[in-house]
Amino acid sequence: MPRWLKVTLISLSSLIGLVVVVALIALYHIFTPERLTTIVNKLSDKYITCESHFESVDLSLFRTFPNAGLKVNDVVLVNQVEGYNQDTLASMHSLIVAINVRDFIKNGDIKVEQILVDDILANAYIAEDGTTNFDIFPPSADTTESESKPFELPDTIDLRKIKVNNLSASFTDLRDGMKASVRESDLCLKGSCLNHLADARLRVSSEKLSVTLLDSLNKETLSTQLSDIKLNLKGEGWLNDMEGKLHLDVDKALFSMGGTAYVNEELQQKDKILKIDMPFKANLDDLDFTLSDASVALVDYVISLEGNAKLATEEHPLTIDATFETNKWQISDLLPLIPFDIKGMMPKGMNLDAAILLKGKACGTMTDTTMPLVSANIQLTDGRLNYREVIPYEVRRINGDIDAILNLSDEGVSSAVVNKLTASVSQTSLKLTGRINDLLGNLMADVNLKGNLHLPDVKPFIPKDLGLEAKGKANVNLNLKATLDQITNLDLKNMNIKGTIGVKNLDVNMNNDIMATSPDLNLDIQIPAKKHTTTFREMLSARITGGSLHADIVSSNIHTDLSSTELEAGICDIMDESLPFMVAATIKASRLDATMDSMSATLSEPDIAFEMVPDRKDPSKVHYKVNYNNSALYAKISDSLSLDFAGLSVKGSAYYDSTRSNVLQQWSPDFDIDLKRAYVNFSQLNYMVQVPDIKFNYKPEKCEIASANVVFGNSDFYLSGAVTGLEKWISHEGMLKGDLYFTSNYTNVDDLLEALSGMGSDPDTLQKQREEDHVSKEANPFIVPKDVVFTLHTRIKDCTAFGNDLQELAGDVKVNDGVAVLDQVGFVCKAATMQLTALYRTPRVNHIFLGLDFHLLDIGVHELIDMIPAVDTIVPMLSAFDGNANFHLCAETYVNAFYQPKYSTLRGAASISGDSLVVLDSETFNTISKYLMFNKKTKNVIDSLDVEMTVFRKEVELFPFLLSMDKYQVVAAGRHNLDMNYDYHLEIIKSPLPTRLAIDALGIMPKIGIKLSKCRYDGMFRPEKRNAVQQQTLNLKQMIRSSLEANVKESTKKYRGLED
Amino acid sequence: MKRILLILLALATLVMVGCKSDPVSYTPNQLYGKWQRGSEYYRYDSNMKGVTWDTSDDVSEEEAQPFEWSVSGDQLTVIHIMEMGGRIPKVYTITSLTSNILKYQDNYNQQFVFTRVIN
Repeated sequence: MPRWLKVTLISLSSLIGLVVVVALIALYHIFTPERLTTIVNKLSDKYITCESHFESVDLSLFRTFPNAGLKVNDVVLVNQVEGYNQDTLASMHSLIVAINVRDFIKNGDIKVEQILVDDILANAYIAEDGTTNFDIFPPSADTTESESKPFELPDTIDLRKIKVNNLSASFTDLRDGMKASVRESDLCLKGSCLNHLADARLRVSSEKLSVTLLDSLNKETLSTQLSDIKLNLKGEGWLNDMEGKLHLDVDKALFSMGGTAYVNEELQQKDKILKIDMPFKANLDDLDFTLSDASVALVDYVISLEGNAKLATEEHPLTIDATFETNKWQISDLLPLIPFDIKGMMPKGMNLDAAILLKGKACGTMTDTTMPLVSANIQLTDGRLNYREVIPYEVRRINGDIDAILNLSDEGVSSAVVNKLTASVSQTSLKLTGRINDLLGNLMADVNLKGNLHLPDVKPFIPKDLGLEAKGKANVNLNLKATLDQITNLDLKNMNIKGTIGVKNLDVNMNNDIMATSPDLNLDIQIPAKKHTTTFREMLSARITGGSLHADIVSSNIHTDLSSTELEAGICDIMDESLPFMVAATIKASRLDATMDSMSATLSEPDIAFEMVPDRKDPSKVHYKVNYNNSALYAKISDSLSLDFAGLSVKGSAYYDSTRSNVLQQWSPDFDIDLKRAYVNFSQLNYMVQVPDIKFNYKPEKCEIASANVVFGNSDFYLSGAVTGLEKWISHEGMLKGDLYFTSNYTNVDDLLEALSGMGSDPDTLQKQREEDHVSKEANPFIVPKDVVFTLHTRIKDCTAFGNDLQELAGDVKVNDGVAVLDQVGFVCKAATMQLTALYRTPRVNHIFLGLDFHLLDIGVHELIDMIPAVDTIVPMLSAFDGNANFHLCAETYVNAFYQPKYSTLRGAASISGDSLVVLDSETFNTISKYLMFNKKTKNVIDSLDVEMTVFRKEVELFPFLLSMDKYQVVAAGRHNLDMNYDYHLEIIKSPLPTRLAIDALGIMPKIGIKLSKCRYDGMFRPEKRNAVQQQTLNLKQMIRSSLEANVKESTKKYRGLED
Repeated sequence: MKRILLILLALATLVMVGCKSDPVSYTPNQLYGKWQRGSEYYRYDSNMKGVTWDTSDDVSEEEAQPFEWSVSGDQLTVIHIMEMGGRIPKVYTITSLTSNILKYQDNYNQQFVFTRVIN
C-alpha cells in the first residue's frame, strides 16, 4: 500500500470515529436512563396487564455496537394465578434489544439486530381449566375475525443474535399433564434467511433439563432428566440445498417410561452418556435430509449413520434410505448398561460375552401399512457363554455371521440367514448355518448343524444315576426345519430333522457293568420317519450301520460282537405323553458273537424284525412282534453242550401284561419256530443228536409241535402233538398236559433214559425234599414232575430196551401227576408178543416206587431167560425146559435215592404156564432122573406146566406145581431167599414104584443138600383126595394167576405188530 | 404075627389120636391193632384190611403197603395187595395170641413173634 494512501485512510477513520463518539455522547445526554425508565414503565402499564416493574432503562451503545441497544435492567413480571404457588412470571436481570441505527436514521425502520437477556427466571403455568399465568397482554382492539392461515416462514429473516444467559425456567401444564424445567441454560441463536438463502447457528448449553409427563391420575408416564447439555446446530445454504451439522452432548441422563427406568445405576455413573454428531444436507422444502458420516453414541456404543431421510409431508410419506454401522460392542460391557427389567428377562446365572458388529441398511417408506425394510449383518466374534445351570462348560469361540432382514410392514416377513455360527464347548466344536424365516412371527428355522462332538463332553448332560460314560468322537451333520414354537415345545412330530452322526472309537461304559465299543458307527436319523408301519405312526426313523460293535455286560458275564451291523428303527412321538413308547426295528448283521459265563454263541447273518406297541388304553400292556432269521447258529455251553443250527426262524407276537403271575402268562407268546439241520452235542453222550427239522407253534396255553425229526444216537424219531396248560402249570394253577405222537424206525430206550434222567424237576422243591429226606448229595434219582399229565403215543419199528431188541412196539408212555407209566405197551420180539406196563412214582426223593406188569405171551423159554435172567434165579429149573410158555410177572418195590430196593416193600407175583414143554438134558434133570430112575427112552416132554410164585420181601415162594412126564407125576414146591438159601421140595406122587417118594433140596447155593423127605402133596392134584389145606393152596395159586392174567389186554393177545 | 402087627398098629394109632390136642381157634378181634417185630409193623384193621411197613427202610405208616387178612381157626391168611395188580398170599399158623403177643409160623416153620403196639 502506498504511504500516502495509508496516511489518508488512518486520518479518515479517526475523523469518522470522532464524529460517531460525539454523536453517541449527544444521544446519551438526550435519552437519559431516568427519561427512558419513565417512558417504559408508562408503556408497560398500557401493554402489560400484570404487575410489572422495570428498574431502569437506558441506552446501550458499546455492548451492541455498531447497533444501538435499549437495555432494561431488573425486569419483574408478577402474575398470581390461583392454584399456582409462584407469583413471579418472569424476572430478568437485564434485557437488551439492539436495533439497526442506520436503517432507523435512513428509513425509520426498526430492525431488531440483537436480543440479549441475562439471568432470566421464568415460571409458566397452565391450570386444568386452561387459565395461564403468561396471558399478560391486553386483548386486541381489532375484534374483526381474520381467517387463520397456516404458518409460513417469512421471506426474510435476519436474526443477528439472540442470546440468553443463565436461563432458569419451569413450565407446569396441569391441563395436558406436563412439567418441564431448565436450569442455568445459555442460548445463542444467530441466523438469517434472505430469499431462501439461510444461515443459522444455534448453540444451547444447559445445566439441567427435565421433562415429566403425567397421566390423568397424575402418575408419571414418562420422565427424563438431562444434565450438562450442549447443543450446537448449524445450517447454511439455500433452503432446498442446505448443509449443516448437529452436535449434541449430554453428560448425564435419567429416563423412565411406564415405571421402567431405562438408565440404570451403572449407566448413571457414566460420563458423556449421549453424543450425537450429525453432519447433514437438507432440502427443507421437501424435508429431505441426507446424513453423511453421522454418528449417535451412547457412552462408547456408536452407531454410524449415512443416508437419506425424507420426512413425511402431505405429498409423500416418510422415506428412509440409510445405512448404519456400529463400532465393536462388547456384550459384557453393554449388558450392565441394559435397564434392569431387560436384564431380568435373561436367565439367572447366564454370563454372555462377545463382540458384536452391526452393519445394515434401512430402506423404504413408513405409512400406516408399510415400514422401511431393514437389512443388517451381525458379526459376532470371540464370544463366550457361561450358563452352568444348563451347559456345564464354558461355550467359547462363539463367532457368527448373520444376515437379517426386518420387514415390519403389514404382512411383511422378516428373515435371517445364518452364514455361520460357530462355537466350541470343551473339545467339541459346532457350526450352524441356514435360514430363519418369519423372525418376528412364528419363527421358522431351516438350518444345518455340523459338529465334532467329543463324547466325554456329553457326560454332564446325562443323568448321574445312569452312571453312563462315553468316549469317542462323533461327527454330527443335522438338518432341521422347524418353527420356534415347535422347538420350544419340542414338538418333534411336526419338525423335519434329517442327518447323520458318525461315531469313531466309541467306548461306552455304564456303571462298569454294561460296556460297548465300536471303531466306526454311523447313525442316520430322520423326522418324520422315512416309512410307516401299519400298527403305529412312526415319528422318527433311525438307521445305524457300522463295521463292528462289541458289547459286554460284566455282571452277567455276557460278551457280544456284531459285525457289519445294520439297524433300522422307527420310534413313535416320544414327546406325546398321551402316547406310550412304540418302536419298530430291524437288525441285520453279518455275524453276531456272544458269550455268557461258559456259554457262547455265534449267529451268522442274524436278521431280526422287532416291533413293540403298547396298548393305547392300558400302556402297561404291550404288543410285540418278532421275526427272526439266521443262516447259521453255533452255541456252546462250556464243554458239556454244543449246538449247531443251519437255520433258525422265529416269527410271532407276544402281548405283555405285567399283572399276570408268571412269565409265560405275562408275555402270552404266539410264535412259529422253524429249526433246520441242527446238531446237538452233549458231553455225556458219546454220540451227536441231530435235528433235521423242527417246526412248532406256541400259542397261549398251547404248544403245537407240527413236526420234529430227531436223530438221537442210533435212534431216530418223529414227534408231533400238542402240549397245553404251560402257563397255568408254571403258576401252579393247573396241570401241564401233553399229548404227543412218537414215531420211530429205531429207538434205543437205554440211550433215551440215560439222556432224560434227572430232567424236569423243580430244583428248589427237589432240594427241599432232599433235605427233608436226608438224601446224600451223591444220590440223584429222577423225580417225576407233579402237576404234569403227559401221554406219549409211541410207534416204534425196532427198539432196544434194557439190552433187548424189540420190534413193532406200540403203546403209551404217560406221566401223570408224579407218576410215570409205561402203559400197556404192546410189542413183538423174536420170541413172543409182549405187554408191558411200568410205573415210576416219586412221592419222596428217598422213597421211589417202581412197578412192573409184564406179560410175555407164547414166549420161548430160553428167550424168556435171555430176556429176563432173573427168571432163572426165581425158577431155577426153568432152564431145564424148552418150548413156548406164557409168562406173567407183576413186581413192585420202593427204592431209595440210590435206586437200592427197600426189600421190606418188595412184592412180586409171577406165573408161567405152558404145554408140551421139552425137558432138556440138563444137570438138574439128570439129577432128578437119576434119583427117580427115568426111562431114558421116555420122551422128555411134560404135558403141562403151571407155575405160580410170589416174592415177598426177600422171600421167593414157589407154590406147588405138577409136572407130568411119562409115568411120573412130580410136584415141586418150596421157597428161597434172595440170599440164595433154598428150601425146595420134590415129591413123586405117581410112579411105577409101590410107594411115593419125596426129597428136599436144602442149603445155600451152590451147596444144595438133597435128602429124602415126607410126602406132602399126595392129594393136591387128585380132587377126590384133596384136603382143605390143599384146596386152599390151589385156590391161592388160582388167585395169583387170575390177578396176573387180568392185566393182559385183549388187544395184546391179538397184537401182531404195527399196522402200516 | 400078622395079627400082632395089626394090633400094635391099631394101638399106636389109638395112642396118636388120643394124644392130639384140641384145635385152637382165634377171632379177628384178637388181632385188631398194631403189631411190631423189630422195625417191622403190621396193622390189622377191623375191616379185614391192614397195612405193613418197615421203618428200617425209611417207610412210615402213611406209606405202608396194604393187605387183606382173615383168621380161620388158627390159620391166619394175609393177602398182600400189589399196586400193579398182583396178589401175594401168605398163610400162617398162629401159635400164640395174647393181648400183647402174637406168634405164628409159616409152612416152612419160620417163627414170627410180634408185640402189640400201644398207642
